[in-house]
Amino acid sequence: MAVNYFRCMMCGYEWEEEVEKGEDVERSCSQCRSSSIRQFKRKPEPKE
Amino acid sequence: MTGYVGNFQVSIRKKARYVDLEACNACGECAKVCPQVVPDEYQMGLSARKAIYIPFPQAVPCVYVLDMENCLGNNPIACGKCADVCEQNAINYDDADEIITRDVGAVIVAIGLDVYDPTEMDEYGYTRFENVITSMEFERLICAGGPTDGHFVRPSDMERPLRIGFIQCVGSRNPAIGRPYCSNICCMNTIKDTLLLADHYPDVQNVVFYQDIRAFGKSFEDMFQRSKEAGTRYVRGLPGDIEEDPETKNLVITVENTTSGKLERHELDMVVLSVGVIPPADLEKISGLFTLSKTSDGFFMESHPKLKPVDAPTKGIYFAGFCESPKDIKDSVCQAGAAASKVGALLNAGEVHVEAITSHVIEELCTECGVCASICPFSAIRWEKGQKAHVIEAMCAGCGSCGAACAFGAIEMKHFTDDQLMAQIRAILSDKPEEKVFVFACNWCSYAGGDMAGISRLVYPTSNRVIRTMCSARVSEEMVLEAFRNGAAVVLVSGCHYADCHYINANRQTVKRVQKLWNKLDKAGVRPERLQLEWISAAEGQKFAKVMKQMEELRATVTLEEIEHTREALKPKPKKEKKARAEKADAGAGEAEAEAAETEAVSG
Repeated sequence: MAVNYFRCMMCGYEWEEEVEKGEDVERSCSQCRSSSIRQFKRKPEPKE
Repeated sequence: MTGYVGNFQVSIRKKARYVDLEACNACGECAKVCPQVVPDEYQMGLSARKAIYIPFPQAVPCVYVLDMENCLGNNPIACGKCADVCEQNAINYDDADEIITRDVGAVIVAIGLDVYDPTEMDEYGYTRFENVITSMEFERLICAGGPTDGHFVRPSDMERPLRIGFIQCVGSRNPAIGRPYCSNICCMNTIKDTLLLADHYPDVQNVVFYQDIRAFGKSFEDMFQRSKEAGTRYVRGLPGDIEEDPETKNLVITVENTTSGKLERHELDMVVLSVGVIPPADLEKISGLFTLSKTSDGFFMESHPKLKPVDAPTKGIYFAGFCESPKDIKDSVCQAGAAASKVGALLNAGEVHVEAITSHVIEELCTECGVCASICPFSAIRWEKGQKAHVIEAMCAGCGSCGAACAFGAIEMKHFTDDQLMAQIRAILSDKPEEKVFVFACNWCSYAGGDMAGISRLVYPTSNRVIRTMCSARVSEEMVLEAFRNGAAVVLVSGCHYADCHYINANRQTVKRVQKLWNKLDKAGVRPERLQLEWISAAEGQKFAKVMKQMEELRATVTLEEIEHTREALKPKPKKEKKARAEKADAGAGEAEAEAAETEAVSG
């Protein structure tokens, strides 16, 4: 298990989550329900 | 299992029976002397069986089988009593599993179901209270061939219960435990049980606690009314928990009757949990073996819910029964008949017609990298190291993910070709591209979701321009970049939800590709938010309209300067420049080598 960082590309909401290797999970934003979720292995730079 | 439609090779493990099928005459002498007693799975553990046994009454063939896990015959303490008494000499301890290989043209998957284990719903006390049983255990208790010969008794004192409660939807319609779906059969099963009880024991009082009674099949409503007329009380409301009277072992249920709005207290002799059904445990293994996809509920996904309800996405594979979705006996029989007919039609035709939308390899361009073979969800691409890839058209479903993934343009689709899609992109963006929301939609879900939005007369901005592809995985990086290069303000890639992907799991490639594109756009100084990814199902017209509104709002934030900058930033590097750079790099490497040699010579 590793912590990954996620950013909703629609509303900009960011969160971190434990990710299992080889997992098959459909993610959506808890704020706006968008499926446009960008995944980062390292904490991304804060959005301007 | 290997091969493809009309040409499968299957290996079947025939488990060892340890009893000669021909010699055994089912006299039962072996079971009489067998000292090993284990819980009988068929009777839900309510009675015991021996290590040598007939799995269930009316088993075909009616021949004993030796449960080697529990048999003492092969242990250090050798028993061998069954072999001693068998006059037919039918016992063979040296029997072994046999692998049978068969060539088959089609396969029907009918692996059935598992029943929900209510242990995790501790509020109903299934493991704490003896008189709380499941509907499956009820079935055995009331059956003439059951452990009590059909005499219905409660486990705590073996007395006949007079007040019986049935709790519906245990393990069904409960998202909290990950089982949001309706199990389809439980309502009618409970209604049938109440009628059975009323028939056998007219003095028994039945109470059914339910949230909805789903009596929708032929004569089902009639059965429901008969149950009510027979005296069964239906209380709309599910109890929060069950308490037990430690002395009498009676069960007390407090429930809010949502019809009357009153709190009711029921003291019952026995409670039956109407357990739901779940996908069978080995579904995962079968799914991998046959490259089948699953729905979000965990059951197998059919090729099309309305038009191909018995076909698997993999050609030549058909479904029958519960493994596809919860259904009753009648529906299972119908589906089995339909699957058999489909197989008959397939095999009698003598040849297989495949959809024209398949991929093919352009051998001159293939670099033998094998990327296409590794991502094909249908394993339709044969590739070995040092060899060109080869598409087996009979297996190819035409998702196009291989075509989008090949960096060398060595895989082309028949229909929805790269040239056709690129031409569409350029045509759409030839006039006022900055005013358009550019959408790639998969054929099965998102495009149909757009249709649904239209049919439902939902209002959403008219700025969107949709290009249909068979799967979202068909959309290559180059197509998205081409849209931006042609002035698109925003681009949406949309496809089926994970569990609904019509090409098993091809849309996972879409996710990977879009992630890569976001990184690429970021590096090029282009706002990555201008590329969006959405999963929209065919039923989600509302979502389609909502996403289009959001995309239009996003489009309005993109300036003409930004679009112009994007055109420049994403401009493909001229080949000459690339070549020159490569040459320069080569020259650089040569210089470095010379330098290294010189250094070595100096130090030497």
